[in-house]
Amino acid sequence: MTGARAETIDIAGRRLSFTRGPSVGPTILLLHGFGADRLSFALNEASFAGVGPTIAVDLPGHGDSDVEVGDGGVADFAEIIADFVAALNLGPCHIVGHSLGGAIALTLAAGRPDLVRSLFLLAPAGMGHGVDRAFLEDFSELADAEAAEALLQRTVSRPRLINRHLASRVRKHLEKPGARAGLKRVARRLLGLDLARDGTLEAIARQTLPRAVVWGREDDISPRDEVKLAALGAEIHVLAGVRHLPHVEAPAAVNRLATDFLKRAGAFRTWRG
Amino acid sequence: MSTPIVIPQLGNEIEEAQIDQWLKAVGEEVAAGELIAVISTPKVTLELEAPAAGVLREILIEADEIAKVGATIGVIGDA
Repeated sequence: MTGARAETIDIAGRRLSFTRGPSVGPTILLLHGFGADRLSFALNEASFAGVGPTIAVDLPGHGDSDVEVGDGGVADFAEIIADFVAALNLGPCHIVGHSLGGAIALTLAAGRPDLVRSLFLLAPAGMGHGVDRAFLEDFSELADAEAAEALLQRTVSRPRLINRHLASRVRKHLEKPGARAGLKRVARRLLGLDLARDGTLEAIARQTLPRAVVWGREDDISPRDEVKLAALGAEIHVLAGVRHLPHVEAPAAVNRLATDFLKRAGAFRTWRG
Repeated sequence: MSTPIVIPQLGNEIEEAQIDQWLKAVGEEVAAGELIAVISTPKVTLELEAPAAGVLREILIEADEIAKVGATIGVIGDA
């Protein structure tokens, strides 16, 4: 389906914007990365929709959702998403999360395992060797579309995957009152994020929750940490020729891995009753 | 046999895309899965793969033009 209307919902006084695809069954909730928005899964949604209904939400401070980010921390975002899942009666749902969205998904699953059916994570923040400081700090300071294009091109293996329209859209978002301050706060919290140190990794490792991680082999925005990944007990897929946006750089491979995983994860939960 | 090259579904909200670049010229041979065109929307850029092996017979939508999701933008024929 194309031309879906964005919907909005008030969660704890903050308006979140989202779209949902057709079909029935357990929801696949899509959580985007820092500085992105719900449209960053445009190359994946149609494929995921073959497994179950998708919902792509703009995180606080991103896309069409309110610019207010609370304390900007992953735990705060996870609480908002928990309320979102409960308000729309989506739980337990599959979560596909990229970078910041992946860290939120892990934090949510650690604290509210009743809301999560499986995790399919793309370069989840807090599970690598830290997120590139210059990238995080420069993002909220971007002055023009040219600077945005240059910075965003650092996230992909082939610069042509980032076009001028996208860069202009990012810059336009930053011009919204409060958007830069909000993203700066999120960036600051992301810099110190370590899901091994805060106990999230350990909490997930104890669960039977189906989980998979995809990471770009050439990711230098958030390089993967083999030790943390091994401790997570997930199936791991490292994609060659990919940097920080596997779902954009290698959509066919990611869609194949995700749909295969989601089908197995769904069956797993059904079998367990 | 001819195989159409189609603009794929792009999320739930995107209805059209611009052809940024054809990576093959009419008459050139392509392998199945080889990158054949770059298309973009205001949010995302996609490299289209050739849906079949053969020869790029026709380009129906030129670079810099807009096509609807589901539209045929070119045709691959037997080599």
